[in-house]
Amino acid sequence: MDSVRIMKRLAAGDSEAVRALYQQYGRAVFSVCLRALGDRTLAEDASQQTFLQAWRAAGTFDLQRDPAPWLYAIARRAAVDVYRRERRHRVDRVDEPDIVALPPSFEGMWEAWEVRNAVDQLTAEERAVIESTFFLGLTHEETAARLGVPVGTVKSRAHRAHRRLANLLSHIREATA
Amino acid sequence: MRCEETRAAMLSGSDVEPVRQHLATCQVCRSEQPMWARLSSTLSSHSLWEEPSSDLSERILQTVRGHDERSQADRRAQPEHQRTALFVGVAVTLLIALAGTFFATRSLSADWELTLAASEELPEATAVIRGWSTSMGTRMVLDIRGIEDAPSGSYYEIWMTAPDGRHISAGTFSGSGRVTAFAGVRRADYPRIWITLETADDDLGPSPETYFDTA
Repeated sequence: MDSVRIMKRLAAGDSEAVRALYQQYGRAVFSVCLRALGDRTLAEDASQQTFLQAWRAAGTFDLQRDPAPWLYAIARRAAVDVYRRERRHRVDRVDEPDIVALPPSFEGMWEAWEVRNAVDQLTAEERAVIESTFFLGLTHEETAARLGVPVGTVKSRAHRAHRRLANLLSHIREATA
Repeated sequence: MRCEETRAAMLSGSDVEPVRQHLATCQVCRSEQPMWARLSSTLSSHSLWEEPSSDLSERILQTVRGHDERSQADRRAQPEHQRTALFVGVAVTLLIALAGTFFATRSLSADWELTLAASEELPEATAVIRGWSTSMGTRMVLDIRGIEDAPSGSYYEIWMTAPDGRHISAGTFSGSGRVTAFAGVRRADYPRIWITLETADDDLGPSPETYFDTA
């Protein structure tokens, strides 16, 4: 289902549309919340709040716009709220400053969001190669053994994936220029 | 090597001779080098690849349905109280009209106007306050924009604080919009006005989560 249809159904109050929205952006939402909060349980809590807020606010969403930045803003807000809630339970209030500064883990959230969404647009085969080489730190040979494909296939998939990712992320150049 | 290939190479972390040669001659790609290195590092980060629990989607759906059922129940309950609601509506309308007449005849323009500074996390949020001094204290109309609805169990609270640190609550609200607040003190005695996010608990003092404050 495309984003416009999902948002139309969401705006109409169709709770099932939340599932479709989650399928499209769930990993990205969880990913940025985990990056910011550094804890799976809190990240899932913030993800839950994100989709609930999105469902509540969908009626005011402009269908001409891309829902990704809108959802990102909600996810960031939800992560900030969860962070503050947890912090309030941990820290002695007497020493609290009026304005609570966010930790460095909140920096780069937008880029992380863009990267995760770009990764989600790769094919499953390309994604497996990128995960293997970047996250697991495996060589092309080790990746080939892990995935059970020839080294040449790993190299060509990696090459294709890097080009696609660079292309999908190129808009960040303008944003940060 | 072309720019497009160089970008892909920079993202992959490759530092082969053709990439170096291209970077030596292309200022645009050179200027992008830190960004691609950053994105490459993000690709390696643990948070990017960790998967949420398999039941998270269902939990989210259940939460949404729970809220949906509650709001539908509220809507169903409405006809039973329609008459009461109509009566209350008429009464409120009359009250507003009377209050409007009172304030229109008393004072059309505010005695003072103030723009509060938003916290760093809310660069697009604004809070403009118009205030009137009355014989009973300070009446304020706040135009709040750019903040999310307060999470369940929380609310925003408006505070007025004296130079010696004494403070008084001027009211609460739940999100962006126009809010009318009243405090039984004079603005001259309580010059600082600020807004916090509060949770519904036994602690009646202001929380440290300040969203807006007197500049």
